[in-house]
Amino acid sequence: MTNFNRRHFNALFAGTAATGMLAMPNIARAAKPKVVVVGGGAGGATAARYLAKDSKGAIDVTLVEASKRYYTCFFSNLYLGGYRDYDSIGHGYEGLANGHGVNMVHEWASSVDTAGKKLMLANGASLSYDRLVLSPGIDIKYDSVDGYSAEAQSKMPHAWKSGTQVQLLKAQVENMKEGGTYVMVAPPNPYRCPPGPYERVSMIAHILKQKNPTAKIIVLDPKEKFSKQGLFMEGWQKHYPGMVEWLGAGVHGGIKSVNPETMEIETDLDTFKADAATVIPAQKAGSIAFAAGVTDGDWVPIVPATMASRADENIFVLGDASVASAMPKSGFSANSQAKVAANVIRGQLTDSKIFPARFANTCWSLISTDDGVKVGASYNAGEEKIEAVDTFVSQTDEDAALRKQTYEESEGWYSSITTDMFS
Amino acid sequence: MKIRAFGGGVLSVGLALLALPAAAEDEVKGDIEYGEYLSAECVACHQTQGHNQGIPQIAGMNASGMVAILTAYKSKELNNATMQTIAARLDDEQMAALAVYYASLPAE
Repeated sequence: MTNFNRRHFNALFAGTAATGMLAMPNIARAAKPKVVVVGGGAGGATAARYLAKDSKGAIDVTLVEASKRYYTCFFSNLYLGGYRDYDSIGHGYEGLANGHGVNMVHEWASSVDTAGKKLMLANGASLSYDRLVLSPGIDIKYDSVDGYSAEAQSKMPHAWKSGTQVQLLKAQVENMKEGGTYVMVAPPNPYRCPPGPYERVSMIAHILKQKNPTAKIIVLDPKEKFSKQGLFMEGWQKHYPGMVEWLGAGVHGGIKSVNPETMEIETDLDTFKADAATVIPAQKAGSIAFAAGVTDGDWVPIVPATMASRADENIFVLGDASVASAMPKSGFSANSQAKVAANVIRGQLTDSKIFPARFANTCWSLISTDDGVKVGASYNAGEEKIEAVDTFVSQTDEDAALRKQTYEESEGWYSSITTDMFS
Repeated sequence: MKIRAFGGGVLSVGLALLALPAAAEDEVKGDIEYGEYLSAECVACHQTQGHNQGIPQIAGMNASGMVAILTAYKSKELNNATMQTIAARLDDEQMAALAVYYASLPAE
């Protein structure tokens, strides 16, 4: 604790001296310290809310998010499966603005002047910051799958960002011809929501079982194994016998190309003709992270104890865009990381107490009605990496009552985390 | 007294304490500010206000009762895997801090 705080004090002192300001306490400055947060999802909305709520007005918090209404990526599979209305996964920012005084700016962030500590917006305006929090989520690497493109996403939706892509996919699956084939090209590691593609397969199987029971699902996976594999395989066999076929890289030999015009997916093994398809390409940090110059490769390395980027101590990076080591790219992880960053930033700017970082994650997946499974862990901040302390995963052959309880728990979690983000 | 608890386990420790109002003479002493910080981990699932399906309400819970439940998860007498993982790394000071903080909140 003591070393931790001293390190922060030194870092703060060095920071202020370097920019030529007097090394007087921040609190004595005339203007309130400013934090600008980019991205209103699980990381950004939570960070903005905690900074505003816990500083009780001592920090000026601005949240930059292009959308006025945010549709969560988590639980979008339950919408696909018919367990949720689309409206039920949409959330507004009124609670942050009215309840906590967060300044909402519905605009795209375009670049960062790191020396001048300014965020530039697409409309030409700029926002000055003392600390910048980037939680931009992912961008799709369209060219990672030969033949795929931004244009192709209307024919073969990736639907890996929530919103209209998911609605499009649902319509395409529901309008498949009788006995048709749905093909998913799964993503390579690392990607947003590790069990997500396989929960999606489960939810599409659930719809097809009711509406189109002779339809088939083929998963072409660039990986040899995947998250909760034993649990999903068991569930598909139990609930959707004969419907789902998963082919790992060792079986199909490699995904060579996709053709959105003919709806064909070519692998070394065979060419697959789809009646509806999802292509989930490789991913990278959202573009503002690259514009800020804090990326290394496709993602942003961070300091585990603070979530500050390695490249710029005034820029914090949360969620999918960060390299969080043992933590998966999930909404739960981003929410957890946001609270660590908010505690550190508030300490740096208002001299409030900085507590040691602690992180947690749980990923629930629904396989069929009342058949929920989960995987999760607690994490500590190591010097170099975020490290798992204790992990758990649901077991195969669990009784139905436990699976139902796990599903109900996930519903409770959705309600709570969205309250923790938006209320 | 036996209570069927979250996770399907049966807990027979002194949970009669739970029936006491939060303001009763509670022996638990903890740092409430630390508890509020630690609670950030709880609120991802347990809402501070109101009920939600599938996840028990903990706001306003008697402090001794909360320490007893967390201890039972830590020792795996209670069965929810998520809660076992969360409780596993809580030491006595952290449990007390959380318990005092949650006891200070209004129950609904």
